[in-house]
Amino acid sequence: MCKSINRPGQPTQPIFKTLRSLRILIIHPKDREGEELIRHLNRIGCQVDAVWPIPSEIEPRIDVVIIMVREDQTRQLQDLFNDGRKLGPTIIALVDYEIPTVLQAVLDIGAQAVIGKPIRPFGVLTNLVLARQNWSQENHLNGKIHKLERKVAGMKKLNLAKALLMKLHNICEEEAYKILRDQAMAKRVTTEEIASSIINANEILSAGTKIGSSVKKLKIVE
Amino acid sequence: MELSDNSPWKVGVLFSQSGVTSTVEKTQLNGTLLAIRELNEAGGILGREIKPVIYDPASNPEQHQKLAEKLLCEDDVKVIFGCYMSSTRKAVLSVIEKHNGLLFYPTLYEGFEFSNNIIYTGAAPNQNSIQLADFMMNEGGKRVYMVGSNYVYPYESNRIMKDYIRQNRGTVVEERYLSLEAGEKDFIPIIDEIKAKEPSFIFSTVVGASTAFFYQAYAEAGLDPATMPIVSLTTSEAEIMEMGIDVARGHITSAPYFETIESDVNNLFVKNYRKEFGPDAPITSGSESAYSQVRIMAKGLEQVGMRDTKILRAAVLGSEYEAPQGRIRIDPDNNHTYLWPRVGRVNAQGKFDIIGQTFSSVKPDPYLVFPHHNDWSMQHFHVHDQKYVQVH
Repeated sequence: MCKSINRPGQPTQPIFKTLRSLRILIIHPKDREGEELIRHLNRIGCQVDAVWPIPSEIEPRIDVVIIMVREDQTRQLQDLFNDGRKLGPTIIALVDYEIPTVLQAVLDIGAQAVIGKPIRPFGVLTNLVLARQNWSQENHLNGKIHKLERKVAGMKKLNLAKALLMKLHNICEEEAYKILRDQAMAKRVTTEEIASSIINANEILSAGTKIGSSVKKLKIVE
Repeated sequence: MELSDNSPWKVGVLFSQSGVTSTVEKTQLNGTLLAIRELNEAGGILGREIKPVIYDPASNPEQHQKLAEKLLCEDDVKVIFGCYMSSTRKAVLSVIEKHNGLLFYPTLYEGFEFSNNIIYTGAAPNQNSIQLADFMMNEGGKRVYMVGSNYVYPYESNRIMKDYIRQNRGTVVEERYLSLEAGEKDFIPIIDEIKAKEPSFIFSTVVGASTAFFYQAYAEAGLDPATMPIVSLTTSEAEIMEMGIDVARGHITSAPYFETIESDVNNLFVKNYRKEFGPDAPITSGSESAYSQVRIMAKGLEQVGMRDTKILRAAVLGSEYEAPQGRIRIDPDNNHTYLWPRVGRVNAQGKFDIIGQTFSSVKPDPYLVFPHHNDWSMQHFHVHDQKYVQVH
């Protein structure tokens, strides 16, 4: 009979709200298909630029690159996207052959979506939304991973410094931590920085001695 | 080659004369036939008569697809006028693209489509939904109950409406979907829920024969349009005739055309329509789009003298026509049409009193995902009657 579908008042995903402010660069030959794609993205309401041949770099202001991936241009494609930038644009590949050579290039440039040629208007919006969503999720997760990696490295240092203090003063872990924290507060730096200086100092002072080698053992235990 | 030929221009016509949406589609068929009759009486196009090949696709997507294929392959037709529900347009889309024909679609829909082989002459959401939402937010309170038929148009229309309502700090108290075949009994729990939730208005995207059942159930429950109107984009003069004037009175619809528009062009259109189809024949926004799109096609055909899709389309895109609703134009950017948004309320004669309208046509924006309160579509929209609750 009658059913309730969405929760009433469920909002549209934020991705849709930013769609019309996206700056898109199309890298595709200036032919009818390329023009058709430009017109359709204009219909959707995005800000579109087009360039061909493959440029040597992409301006940082570009949010999304839609690029023709061809088997004879894999080198240029790799150079374009492996420029060491941390936060690259969203990438959508346009392909006309599903051959592994092309698909490998699609993977190499890190495309978040693929549009098949010949380009039809239907599916462009879907791939744009999907690519952008994948891209922002990827960035979000990368940011998270980066943060966690830093945290783990910091904890490693802290543990090592604690172990050194414990051995040196013959104290328990809690006391060692208190020393680190008090020093950090007194010098207005992080406990991590104090831990680093202890580790560095120990490496210099105990080069070749007994303490040095036992600390190496501690490192391995971790 | 085609110029030397004196055979008629054949065109396909696909409006359902049976099935759930036949009431309104018959008014679109009428609009189409009136335009063809007038053109033929004036000598045809370049001396050649227009000959419609008419089928009844029975409100059914598969039938639409099958008959569109027949028109394009067996009947040697290039141009088809037709379709009401989006499901039927989608069914025709693949066929019309495959055979490179041209479909003229005279119905409001939810947007988010573009095909090189379709000319869309009904309203996109930025030409009816947001005017209605804005009008109701200003005049009718902010608690909204939504009920619709279970297919693509109601879901997307509701999404647009919800975003707009949220921006204006309104709330959606409930959202329900019923089968396209829903009968009188199916609306009883809906009416009970409406009574319990007491919304400030009801947004209905119920289409076809169910529409009358819903409004009738509302009237029987003793609910009052003066305090809690049903507002819609699809309830037209045809559905009003089906449900009865007493049932329809006081409810609100947003559309680019109402029969009551005061203009010489419209007066003539109404007069000719009535002469052709009888004094009581309902004239809907769909009739008017169906009529105007034949005129626009004819104008293009006259210009180029051949029915090759690519050439005819080029002539149609960007062309203008003095339609009963006002001057319209096919937007070459997206194949949709510049239209004149209006809001009407059903009066004691079962006609729409126009209570809000634009004073210039609005460019279609079929890919408008997120309508803003200050969207340019709204810039010229004027409300005539601040107290919409007063029923004349």
